[in-house]
Amino acid sequence: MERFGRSGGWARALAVLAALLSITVGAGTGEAKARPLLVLPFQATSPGGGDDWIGEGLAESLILAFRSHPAFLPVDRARVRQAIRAAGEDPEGPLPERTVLAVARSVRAESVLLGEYRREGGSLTVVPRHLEVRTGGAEARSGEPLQGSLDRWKALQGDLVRYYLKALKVAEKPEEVQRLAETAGLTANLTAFEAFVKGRRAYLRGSQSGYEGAVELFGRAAELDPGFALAHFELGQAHLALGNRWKAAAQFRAASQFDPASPEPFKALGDLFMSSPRRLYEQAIEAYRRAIGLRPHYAEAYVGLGDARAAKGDYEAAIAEYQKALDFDPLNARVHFSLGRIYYGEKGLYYEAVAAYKKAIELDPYFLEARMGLGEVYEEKGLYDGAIAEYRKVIEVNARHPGAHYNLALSLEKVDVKEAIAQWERYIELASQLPSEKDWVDIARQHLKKLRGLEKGQ
Amino acid sequence: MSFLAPLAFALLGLAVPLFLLYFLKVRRRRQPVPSVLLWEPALRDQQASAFLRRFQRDPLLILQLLALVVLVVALARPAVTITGRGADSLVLVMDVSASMQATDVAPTRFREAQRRALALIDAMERGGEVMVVEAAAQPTVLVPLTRDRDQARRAILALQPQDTPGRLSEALRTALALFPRSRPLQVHVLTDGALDVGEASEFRDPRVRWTAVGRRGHNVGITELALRKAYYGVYEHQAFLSLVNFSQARLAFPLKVSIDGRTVSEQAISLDPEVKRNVIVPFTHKGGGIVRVEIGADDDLAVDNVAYGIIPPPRQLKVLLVTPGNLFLEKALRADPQVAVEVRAPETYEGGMAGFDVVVLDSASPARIGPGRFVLVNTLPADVPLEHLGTLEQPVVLDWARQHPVMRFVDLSKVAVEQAMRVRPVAAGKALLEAVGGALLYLLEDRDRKLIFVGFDLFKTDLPLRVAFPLILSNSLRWLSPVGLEGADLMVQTGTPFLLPVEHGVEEARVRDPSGEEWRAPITRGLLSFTRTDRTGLYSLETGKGAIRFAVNLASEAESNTAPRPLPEAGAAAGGVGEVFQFHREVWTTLLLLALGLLMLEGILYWRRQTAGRWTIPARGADRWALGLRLLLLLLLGVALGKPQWTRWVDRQNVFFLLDHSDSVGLATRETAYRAAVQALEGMKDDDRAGMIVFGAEARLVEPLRPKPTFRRSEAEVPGKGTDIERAIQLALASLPPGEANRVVLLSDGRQNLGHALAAAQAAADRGVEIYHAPLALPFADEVVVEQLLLPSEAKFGEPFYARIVVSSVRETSGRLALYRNGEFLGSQLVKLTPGKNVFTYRQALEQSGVHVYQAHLEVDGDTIEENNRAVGMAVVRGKPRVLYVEKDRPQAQNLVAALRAQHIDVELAGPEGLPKDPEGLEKYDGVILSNVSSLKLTTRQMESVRDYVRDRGGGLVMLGGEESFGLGGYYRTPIEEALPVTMDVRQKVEIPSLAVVLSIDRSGSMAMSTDDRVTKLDIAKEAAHLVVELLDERNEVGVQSWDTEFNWVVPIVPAKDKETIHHEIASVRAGGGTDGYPALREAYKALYERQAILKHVIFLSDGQMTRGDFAGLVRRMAKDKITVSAVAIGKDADVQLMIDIAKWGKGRFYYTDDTHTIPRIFTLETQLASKSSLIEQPFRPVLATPYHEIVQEIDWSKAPPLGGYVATSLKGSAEMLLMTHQEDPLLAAWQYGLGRGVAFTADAKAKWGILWLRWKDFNRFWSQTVRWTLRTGARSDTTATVRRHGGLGVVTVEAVDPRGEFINFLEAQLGVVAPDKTQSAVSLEQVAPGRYQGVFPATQEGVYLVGLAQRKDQKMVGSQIVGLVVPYAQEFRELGSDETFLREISELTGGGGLANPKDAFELHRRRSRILVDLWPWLAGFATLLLVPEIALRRLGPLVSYAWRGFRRRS
Repeated sequence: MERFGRSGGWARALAVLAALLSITVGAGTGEAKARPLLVLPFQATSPGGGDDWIGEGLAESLILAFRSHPAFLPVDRARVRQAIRAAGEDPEGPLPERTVLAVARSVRAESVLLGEYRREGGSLTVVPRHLEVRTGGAEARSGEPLQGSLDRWKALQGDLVRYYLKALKVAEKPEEVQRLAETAGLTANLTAFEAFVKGRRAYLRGSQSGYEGAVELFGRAAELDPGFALAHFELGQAHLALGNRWKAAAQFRAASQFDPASPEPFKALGDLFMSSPRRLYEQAIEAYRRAIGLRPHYAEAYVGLGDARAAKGDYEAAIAEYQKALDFDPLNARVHFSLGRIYYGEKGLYYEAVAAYKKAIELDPYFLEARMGLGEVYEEKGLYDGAIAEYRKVIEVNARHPGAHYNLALSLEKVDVKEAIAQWERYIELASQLPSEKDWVDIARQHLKKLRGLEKGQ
Repeated sequence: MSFLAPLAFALLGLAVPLFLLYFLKVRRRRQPVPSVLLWEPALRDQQASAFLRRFQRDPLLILQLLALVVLVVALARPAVTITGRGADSLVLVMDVSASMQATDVAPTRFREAQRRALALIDAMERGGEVMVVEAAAQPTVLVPLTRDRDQARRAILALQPQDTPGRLSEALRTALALFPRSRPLQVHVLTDGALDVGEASEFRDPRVRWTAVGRRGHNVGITELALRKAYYGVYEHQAFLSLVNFSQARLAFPLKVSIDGRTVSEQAISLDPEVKRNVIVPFTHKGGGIVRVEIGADDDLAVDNVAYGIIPPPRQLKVLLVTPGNLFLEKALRADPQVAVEVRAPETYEGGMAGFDVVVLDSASPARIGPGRFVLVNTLPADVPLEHLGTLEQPVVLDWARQHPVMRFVDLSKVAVEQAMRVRPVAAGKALLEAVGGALLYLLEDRDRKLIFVGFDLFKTDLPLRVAFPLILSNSLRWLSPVGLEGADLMVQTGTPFLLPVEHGVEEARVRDPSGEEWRAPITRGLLSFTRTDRTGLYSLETGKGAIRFAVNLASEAESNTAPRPLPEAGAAAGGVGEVFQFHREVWTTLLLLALGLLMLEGILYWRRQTAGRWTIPARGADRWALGLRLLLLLLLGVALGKPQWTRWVDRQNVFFLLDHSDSVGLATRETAYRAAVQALEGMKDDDRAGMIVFGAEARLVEPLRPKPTFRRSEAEVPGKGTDIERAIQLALASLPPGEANRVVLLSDGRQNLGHALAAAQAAADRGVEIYHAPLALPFADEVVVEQLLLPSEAKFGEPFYARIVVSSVRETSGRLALYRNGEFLGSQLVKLTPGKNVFTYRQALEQSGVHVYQAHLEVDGDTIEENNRAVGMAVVRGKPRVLYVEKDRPQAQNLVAALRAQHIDVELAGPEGLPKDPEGLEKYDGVILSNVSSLKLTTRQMESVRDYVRDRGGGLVMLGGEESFGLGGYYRTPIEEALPVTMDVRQKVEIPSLAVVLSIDRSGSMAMSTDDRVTKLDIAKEAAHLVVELLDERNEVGVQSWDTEFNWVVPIVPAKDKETIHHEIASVRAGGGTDGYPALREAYKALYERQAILKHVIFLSDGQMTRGDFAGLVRRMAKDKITVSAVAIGKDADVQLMIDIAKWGKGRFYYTDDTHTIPRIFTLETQLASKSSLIEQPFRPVLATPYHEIVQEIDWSKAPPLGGYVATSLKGSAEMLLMTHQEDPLLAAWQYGLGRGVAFTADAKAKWGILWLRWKDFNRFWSQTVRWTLRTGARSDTTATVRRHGGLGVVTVEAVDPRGEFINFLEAQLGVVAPDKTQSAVSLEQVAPGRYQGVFPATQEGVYLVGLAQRKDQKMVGSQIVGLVVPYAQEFRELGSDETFLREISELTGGGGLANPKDAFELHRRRSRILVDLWPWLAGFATLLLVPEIALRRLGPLVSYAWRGFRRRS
């Protein structure tokens, strides 16, 4: 008996050891996995308009806070807007519960953060809710209403963050919770914040006027709160969208000075360097590295770093950077797109390239660059039907995509002269309105002329 | 007492008339009578004075009779027999070598030696015999054994020291061989001891006594002088000198080197005691000249203080090629810089030399060619002693005469001949290349004709495509006629025969020696030989075709080292002491003296009587006459006492028979030879004399020369393991009396393996001794000989090679051939042997580094000699070969890397940047493989290094195809193309697609900046544009646009016809303004889109510093419209990344250049790429073009899978196409380039074109064979070593030349030798010439000597080698049958020939002997006869005068 017991003791010790090992391993693997979050603008329950920026502001601050936490991966708002639009809803309007779930699934979010707010004079009541997509579309759970005044806007945002951390069952140390709450509080100046949120909305609309409006609004926000780093950053983004690189760079630098702990301005600077005509790849790499230094799980910065490496011709290093980006953000379609580009353009790996592009499209069905890339791979390989299908899908999403029209016409030339002629005509019609396409109209006409000649010859 | 000429006693009869004369009455006077009355008294008076009178005793008569008797006795040659005791034979060997001229003993050592020799003669016991031998270059018996001491003394006093090295051992050996060992003998060697006494066994003979004459060694000498022309300069030379101080004191002296009187170096030299210093004097000299080196040392020996060298004047060989047209021959002949060729059609040639040095007849058959020097190719004129028997179909090469000068350094094992003439030699010659069924190359040589016969048409063989062909041709021309004499050939050591091939037609030559004396130099078979080189200095040789100088130097350390060395003590067994012997001694001189005295006395008495005691002339005329006769008589006797002699020609032939008793001559053949000698004696005449010598490795005198000898079968044992004809001839020469009609009959098989018979024959010729020969036939009817086991001297690790065993058999038989390696039995095989040569080949591969000794053994039933059935050979394996594999895409190299590694080749994989930049960096590799590496990734320096590595260092180069290889890699006109067997310019066999090219040139301000080589970037761009235009043909279109902020068409797109105009327009482009290439490129797009050309291409030249446009979009769209764009970034400040991207997007290529040198590479490549003329991407099966080549052997090519494409190239003229493509382009080509080899494989060895090959079973073998064929052989060093065997010595020569072609001097070179019995020895190598080192070691054992060499300079290893010297087993049995050619050569050198009938030894071409006859008997006899008339004149004188007067009165 004694003997048996001793043997059982050994078994127990081994079991404990195995358990310890499994915990260690589990902890190691679990650490790397971030949870995609869909953060939707909070909806107003109070009557009257004009303060719907508050709901967006809450969402923006949550996104900013959770982006800085490695356990979360808030989905970019632009992508969300695209998904909402694809779901047939207005991205700026309220969303039915069912659409929310569909959007969350389309952007592969595991949790959705949403809620309502009510403004009554200077007081604000926020009812946070969250929805776990993994559980199969259960109803959103509501939390206790959070009350505060607009004067204590920052505190309210901090409370909101604390609530969601608790709701998402993320146990954090108080100082980390405090840091996230601080991050969520963008500015103490409500007016500046309002201008900022409105500027974001304008920016996300994406058009020239939208960008111009955004510049004005971000400028105002920055003016109202000169230390509002994020306003400077977004102002830079808006300038960039308008093609004003110098102003953008200045704003990014200002943002980085006002908030040296923020990695976004550095990442933006990196992007700026990357697109510089002077091909400042080294500076871009440096900027991306600084961003990563500030936020080690910053997947986009890794993507930028990979792009910079690829631009320098160091494709193996680029692939390594992309892999790191995927570690932190497996759902990043851009990484797969970049991989596809390298696989085909630089390494001649057809199958790998197609798989990467397809993965990118799967993750982001509206990722038009990925579709264009896939179409070009098909086209070069002589798989014109596949190419034509991809270009057509691009045109479905964006009917005024000139590149898709051009490439479609070229592909059709190979399979159907009549269709090609029609497509060239459509392209010429479209391109004639677009200043960026003026160079290609002549070429298109040459093609058209040639095809007509061929048609006559037949 | 005995009388040697008793007949002389008949002269005693003269006493009778003498006696009678004294009965005559001398005084009777005329008395007139006036009356008859007085008649009666007058008659009484008359009776009183009667004619006769009664005999009266006269003392004069007694004296006369006495003198007569003494004279007669003297003429009867009385001799007394004397009994003697002590040494009876003294042989004096006089050292006449150069060191004997040393003055440390006054006046010279030689005079001291002469004095001592005379003293030895004087000290001889009564009756002793003496012999005098001169130890010169050829030992000479000056005085054969004689008791005539005076003769010996005279001979010694007449001797003079020479400037030659001593050859005491030869002289001693010859002297001793003249006597049986049992004979008591004292041999005294009078020498200064300047020799190595341990070097010869003769020196230790107990009969030898040594007399040393040297006192000290105070000498410094020039012991070596060599001149070499440097490889790197046309007129650069180096003189190498060795100076040695042999004294015990430090010596300082000036050294002066001059050429034709012009001083080129003057320096002060200071040498420590016993120190040798090598001096190199570089100098520049054009044409021929004479180099004089002089040291101003005040030492004991002057002869080594001056040396001469010759720089031969440049000469050309005039060759007439008579051919209906043969480019092979013409090209090979014209490639030789020393040959001036004239080509004629066969119908214009009617035989003879037509003033040329050599005539090459190719497929031209004149009726006769006559005497001269010829190479006959596929023709057989009627007067050539070869019989045409038919044809040989596809003869298989068996073996070739590897040692013959014509066949040196060639490998003919794989020569394929379709058809050859089957010939049979009518006269003796030598087969140079043997095939089954007969000789393919044959050499014939007789007195006035030398020719080389090539028995096949050069168009029906692959020989002209091989490296061997020009080598054989060049060697043949030089063998046939002298050309480009090396300086070394014109510089000989004193005592060495000067041999020089002379031009055809030179029959006679005269040589003037340094003292001005002229000699005739005999010429035999075109070879001049002159042996009187016993004086140092300059000799001039004059032939009918010009004059040349040659130099004779002492250059002997042994002679210059005048320090006396200890000489051996005399042995105890010196014989001859105390023995009693008898000998005869003639006494005629005493008797003559006595007679002389008597006659003088008698004459004086008579004179006094006639003059009444007054010292006046007698009054009577008769008395005066008588006195005159007496004086004459006395004079005759006086002269006779001087022993005068006179020359007389007699019909006498002296013949020495030299019988070969070496082991290769069987007992039956020896008996045949003996009987022939005995039979020959039947042809002797009365005065003839004959002698016999037998020889093997040594020679013995069996029968000395004597009249009417009776030859006995020799019982003398001679060592039979060698054949030394030289010694036998030397011994005969020593035994033959000088001046007589001497002849040597050589009964031998002529298979000399020791000594130098030709030198001895030359000495015989100089002494007027003819040599006749009678070849001895092979006695063994069933003999089989394993002649050679041939192995490569060096094999790579795992490299397959062939062990070839050459077996010759007398008859058809069979046997078991076994092969052993390092003593381990490898296997045996039953082999069939056909009469003649048989070659058996076994494939071997060694996978262990080190030295491997192979042995072959053949067992044949009925074989007579067992010893010659073994052969030994050696191969050195140095370790795995190492190859540098430079590949663009390293992962794709794995297949070939694995294949090579599986075949034991170490492969180091690298990218283009890993290719070393200098040949030294490549040294560690045995070969380089370039696979799909663009030339643009390599610097010019890298490419030059690869070329130099192959050409100058023997490295291997393999280039594999790919999209960036050959022309597509821009290798056109690059150094690497030089090293490859193909050129990159493609012959157009197919219509290439039409091409339209636009050159878009940046002319912005930044392009006006200059690059490093002082040309602007725009200049580079324009140069590029010019090149592109030049490369296009008129089917193609070209447009040129230039741009700054604006663009314009310099040349609109037009066909590339009027290139002049296009060039002009391009040249007019000027730089200035901003930069915007985008509109230009867009315009190029539009313009090209309109063109009908199938291929459209833009070459975009810029520094990239421009306003950005959407290049990506533009160029990608151009690519979609099949318009490719290549970008050329110019200048160091170029925006390379943009240009790279443009090229990438445009599916073209990117180039970077900042110099004009890269431009041609870029644009030839671009044009080739654009035209796609080089890239053939069609599946094809390789076609075997040259099946015999070792790269493609043993591979089943019918099962070789197809390849997917290749890069088109063109085969170079001297390269071999081994595999070709379906379009007959080279797929695999190989050639020898300089010292190395290059291979081009225009497809690839990876999964692109060669994907099916990767699974092919012969893939590994093919690549192993290909790469191995190129790999460098030999040591990786600047030095090469060769070892040869010469007279029982292994002679190692190391040549050291650095990669730049400069000689490496003053190396420390060591040599280690492992003998077959595993004993080890170390020898140091001495420098003997600029960049040349030599060392010797004894090599007397049979088997393999392993020789390891290492050379260091400044503590750094310069080179190392392992070489082997094979001393064949049973050398005497290795070559059987008689070498009649050699025997004939010996004979002809001396004016002799072959003997058909033994009796011809005496009867053929008899000569008269000049002999010396003693005059004294004639003089003494005449004097005796004169005595009677003289006395008669005295007695009858008055009567005669009375009668005379009466007669006159009456008349």
